[in-house]
Amino acid sequence: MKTRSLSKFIVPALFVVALTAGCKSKSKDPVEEGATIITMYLRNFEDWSNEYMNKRVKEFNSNMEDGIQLSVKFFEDEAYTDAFKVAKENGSAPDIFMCSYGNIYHDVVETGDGVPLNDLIKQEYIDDISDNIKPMVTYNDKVYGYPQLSEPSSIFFYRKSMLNTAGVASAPSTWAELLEACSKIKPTLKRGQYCVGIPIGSALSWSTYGLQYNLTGGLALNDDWTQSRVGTEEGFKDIAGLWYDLYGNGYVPNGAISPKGSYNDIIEGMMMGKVAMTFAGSWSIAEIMHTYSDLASDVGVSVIPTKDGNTSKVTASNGGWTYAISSQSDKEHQQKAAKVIEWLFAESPERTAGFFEAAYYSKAAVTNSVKAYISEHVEDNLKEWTNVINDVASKAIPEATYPWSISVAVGTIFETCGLNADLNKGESYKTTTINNAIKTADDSINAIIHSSSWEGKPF
Amino acid sequence: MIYTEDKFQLVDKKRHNRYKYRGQTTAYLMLLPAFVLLSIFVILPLILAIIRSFQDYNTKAFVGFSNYVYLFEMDTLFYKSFLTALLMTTIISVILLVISFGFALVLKAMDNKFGKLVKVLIYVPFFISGIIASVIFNLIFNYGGGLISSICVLLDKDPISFTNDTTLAYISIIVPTIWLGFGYNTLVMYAGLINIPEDYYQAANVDGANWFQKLWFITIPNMRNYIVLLVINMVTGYMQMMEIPMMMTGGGPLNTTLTPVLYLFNSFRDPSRPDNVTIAGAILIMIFIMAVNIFVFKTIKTRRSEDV
Repeated sequence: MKTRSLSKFIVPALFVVALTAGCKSKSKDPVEEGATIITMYLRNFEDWSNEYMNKRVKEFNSNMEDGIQLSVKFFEDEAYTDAFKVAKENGSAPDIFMCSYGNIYHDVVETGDGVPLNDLIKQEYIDDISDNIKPMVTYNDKVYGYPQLSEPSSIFFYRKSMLNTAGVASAPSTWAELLEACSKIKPTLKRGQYCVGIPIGSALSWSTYGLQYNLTGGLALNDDWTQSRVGTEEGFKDIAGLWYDLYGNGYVPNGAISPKGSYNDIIEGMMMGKVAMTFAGSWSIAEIMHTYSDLASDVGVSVIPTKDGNTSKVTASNGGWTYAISSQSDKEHQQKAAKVIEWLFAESPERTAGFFEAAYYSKAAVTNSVKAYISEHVEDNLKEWTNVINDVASKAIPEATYPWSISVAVGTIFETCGLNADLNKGESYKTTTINNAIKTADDSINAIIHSSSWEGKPF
Repeated sequence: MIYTEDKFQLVDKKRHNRYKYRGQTTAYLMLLPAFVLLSIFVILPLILAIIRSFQDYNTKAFVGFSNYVYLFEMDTLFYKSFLTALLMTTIISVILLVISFGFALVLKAMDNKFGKLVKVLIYVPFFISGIIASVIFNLIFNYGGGLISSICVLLDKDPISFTNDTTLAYISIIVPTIWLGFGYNTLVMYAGLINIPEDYYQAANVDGANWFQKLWFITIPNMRNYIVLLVINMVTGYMQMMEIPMMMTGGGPLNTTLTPVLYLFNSFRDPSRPDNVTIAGAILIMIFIMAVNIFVFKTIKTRRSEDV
């Protein structure tokens, strides 16, 4: 009985101790008294990126005279949309929120969630935005998101040692060279190793925008969004044919090679020696430098191989992030939120360039002043890679703004052709497979256009 | 003095009414918290969701059924995702019913300390979320470095791409789902088995019934209500499956493992899609699951235990 009555007190006491253990008070940073609190929702990216943003926020808040206290919340990619929508529904949307280039129209303009920045951010900072980026953040002559960075979705990476072993002298620049390089590399590989890594699944939908544009001079829809181009432009068939050949010859892995299994971290597969070459986003450079720096000298970076090898054309789309100001905030909060954005991304090229330095210049700067600063300060060992990324980024197109299901329909063409590839069945089977996949996508896209309510391209 | 209709018992009417209504106020008061919570968290959101499914998300203007029409006109994936979920639910439910019933029979026979340990062990996966289960099974099915592929490479065979093959992708979803549900289903089956009076079997023994006859004429009919419970649970749960397909295959390859809820999740995150279309889709899923459950109820009619 005594034991039982003692346990009546001990168990709840332990429970309370366990609960409060996590509530240990932390030494808080000094808070500016009477300051306006500006809320900001950020997405979780790589650790180094989050650390960088935290450091900057702390630095901003260390100023005790600006009348602004910045309060930041980080969200995982999946949770960001939910958190933002819930906050918005409750009338407490963050003063500053993130938006990708491709979604500015839908997330900021169409929903009315954001306000034009022209009256809030100094004109000189608006003018500083690079010419190729400005159209991506502008709607009806108003800027709706201040850009932080751009990152080409498709760059070509290769392991020099693996190419050397196979007798491949340089990175392939055309598809013919790519297939030839693969034919040389394949015999040198062990079981479980492949020649080249390519995007699979949903990544095919967005990571191939550059190739689609390169081959067809546009994306899946015509200029006024009234017709699918997939059935009429031969370029889509060409890409499907490349995918068919790569899978049919066993040059590409049949599944995801990186531990997380996504295109975003496909570079890990190459660094682990599972592929000799890979298509990957420019952000992979940061991953190489942070995690595989000892192997960095063995990595080569180039423009992705294209059908004709013309490197002066578009080969990638520009992804990246912008910062918008909420329409739910009052005027004072909007003005102070603009001050935060200016401080973080516009006011000082040196400060803004710090992010690109931390990213090992794996992302391209989006303002002229920061570009100029970086070109003078980039380390010599990274210049070769940085030049490729800046070159690709300067020509890259914005991501498609049409419904995601259209992008998926196009990606499905390439996936279908890859997964159904069988070289033993001959050329006519290949042609039929490609034509069927193209027709399915074309019909699907035209059905979407038919059922849509848009009148011409909105953005 | 009256006779009540059903039991033909002599009851004093006044006394009857006094007892009948005496506890009503207390009962309603006790029900109130549940009713209030249900109203706030279930009924009101449902009503709001239904209203929103007929509105434009941005302008709040009523747009009739256009959000519902949009779901089916924009692409065929939503419709196909129902067929996928139905197929997977059928496969998983049938397999789970059979193996959990079989294992419950084994458990019943293992009436010792080891049996108790097994009961605990098989229930453990039930506490694991679908996300964690997917991580565990990714370590087995992963193409790049999973257990199965690593063994294949060791044996000088090509690694197997479970998640990028239109047939094997189903296996990569069905296996973890069964693993998660096996313990719960088995224990419910076991509870049903031990509730069957031993007298029935003794009488059957006297009549010379064999094992199969006892199973067919005693065990299964007495398990009817448990089976109905499990089928309803499984249909409701697996038609709404999302975590495992999302983690294992992402709905691919070629959208072959895309389930309705995963479709809606993707739709919700697609800025080019009106949000109220997602809500309309959720309402449709609810209606569909209700319809399937009604069908199951009608097909496998429940009986009170004394009627069995």
